[in-house]
Amino acid sequence: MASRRFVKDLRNEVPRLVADGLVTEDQGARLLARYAAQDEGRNVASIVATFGAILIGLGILTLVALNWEAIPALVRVLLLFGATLGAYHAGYDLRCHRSFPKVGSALAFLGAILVGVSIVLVEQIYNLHSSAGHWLLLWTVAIVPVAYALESASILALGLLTFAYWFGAQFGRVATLGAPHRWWSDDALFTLFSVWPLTVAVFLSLGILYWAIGTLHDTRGWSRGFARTYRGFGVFFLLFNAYMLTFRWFHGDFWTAEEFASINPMAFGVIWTVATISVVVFLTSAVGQRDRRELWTAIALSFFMVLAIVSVSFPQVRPSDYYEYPYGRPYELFTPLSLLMNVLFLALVVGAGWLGLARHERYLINLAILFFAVDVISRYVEFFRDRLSGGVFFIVTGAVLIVLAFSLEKARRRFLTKMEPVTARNTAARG
Amino acid sequence: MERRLLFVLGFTAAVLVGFLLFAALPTMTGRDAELRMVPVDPTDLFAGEYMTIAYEISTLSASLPNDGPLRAGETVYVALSEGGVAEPVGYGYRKPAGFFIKGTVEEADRDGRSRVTYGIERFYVPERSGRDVRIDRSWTARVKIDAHGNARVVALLKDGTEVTFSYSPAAERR
Repeated sequence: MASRRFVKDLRNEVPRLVADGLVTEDQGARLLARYAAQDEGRNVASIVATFGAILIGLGILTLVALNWEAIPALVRVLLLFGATLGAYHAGYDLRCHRSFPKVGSALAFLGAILVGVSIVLVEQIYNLHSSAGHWLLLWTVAIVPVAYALESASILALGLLTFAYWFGAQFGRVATLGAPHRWWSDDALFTLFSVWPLTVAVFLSLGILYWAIGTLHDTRGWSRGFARTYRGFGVFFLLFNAYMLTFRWFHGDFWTAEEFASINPMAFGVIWTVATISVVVFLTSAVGQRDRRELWTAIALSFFMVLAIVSVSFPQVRPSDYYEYPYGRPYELFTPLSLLMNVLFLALVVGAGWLGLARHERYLINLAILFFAVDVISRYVEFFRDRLSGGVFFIVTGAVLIVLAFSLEKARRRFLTKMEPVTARNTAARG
Repeated sequence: MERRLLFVLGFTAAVLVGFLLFAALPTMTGRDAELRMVPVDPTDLFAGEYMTIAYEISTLSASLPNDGPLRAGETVYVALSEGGVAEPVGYGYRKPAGFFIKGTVEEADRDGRSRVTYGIERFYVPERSGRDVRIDRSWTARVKIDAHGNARVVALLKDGTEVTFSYSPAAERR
């Protein structure tokens, strides 16, 4: 197997060889593809090491959760704080000084998990309780700067997740303050279900904000590696919440008039604030890009976001005295609004796939195909569940799923194959 | 040591020690108070077993002296009686003179009753040791309250005697 240094040198050398006319562009791409494939083997090490880190983190979390009285509180604190700093130190050392970058990254990731466990331990020792989940914000604040310092995409990903959880809990809490229909829960995050359409709007905006921050990183040399992490989360939040809006139930019938009136108006303030920040960051970052597709993407997504927010802000309410669907109205598969959202969702999926092809980003194509499949299945079930008898429904559904899976996998491979040579060329150009 | 590593270790240590101090300070500087309690008992995915506690002061009545009606989401200061089990003697949005505790209004009914939390609604116990506990009016919580009204619960008491919780596998089998 070629050494890591050799592959690194080759990545630096190939663009020069191509520029000097010693090898053609295609030959250079094929050379890189050959050795980069060997380098992929190390990704397995990375995945295994990361799983190891997660398991150790979960193990320590479980021990802490047992509230183990055999060890004095101060010793538990010292042990856990020491383990956290030790994991960071060992991770850094292995990555930067001992040529074990994957294991080093996994240990640094373990350090980031242990920060969260340490916070939980302190909460436990002092019987602290915040139903709004502020410990997640503290966790985010503690690990995101470290992600930048160590250039660790996995720590950043953890930070984006903990922030999204905290943000969701805050939103649920604000939106349901004083609402009599609030779903009671000790954990504010679960109150989100009582304002679900608004939750969809706010997380859609957060997704676009993550995407926009990703684009912002694309323009800065020092952190381009993070662009993909931000965009990955952004696209997932965007597509997932846009998919939610394709259900007619989200635009009508969720609320009674009384329930809708009881929402704290500040919830709309939060949604529009996040949306405004997203648009500003997105447009600012896109304007700075040479690739004009970024600007058009920013404009199109901003319009979609505004439309989505408006659509959940003026819902069709259901009568208070009807509890059975379709609430005394004739059954409709689509309302005009849900039909529009379906069309726009398909446009988003196609757009994500197209962008994936154009930018040679595999995860965009995979996500687009995944959500396309989920959407087709959802519409199929909605349409046929009452039209076919039980047995026939399952047989036809099974057959449709197999055909769908076959054609989608074929399409995905075709897209990825088309991308390969260009990706290899870009890798070479990036060095 | 390299700068980047120094930053990572220093920053992380500062955040963790800062949080530890924030959590510990009221227990070091605060005054003792006893609050009467009422419980429930869930399990948290992240934090193992604990008892969720409601106190008598968790529900405030408009019949107490107050600055005006409470609104959900606002910070409220509740003045407490001193000596024996602390009782609420008034509440409002401004810090009162004397002994008080700081809380957040969770719900405010139209009839003037408000549900308030103080950040002391959880008491962690060793694994499974809190399951069979039944709380009645003989139970109180010993809390420490600092000069700003921040509180931490430090012990639970039954008939004025501190209760220790410990998990016994033998008791579990019985």
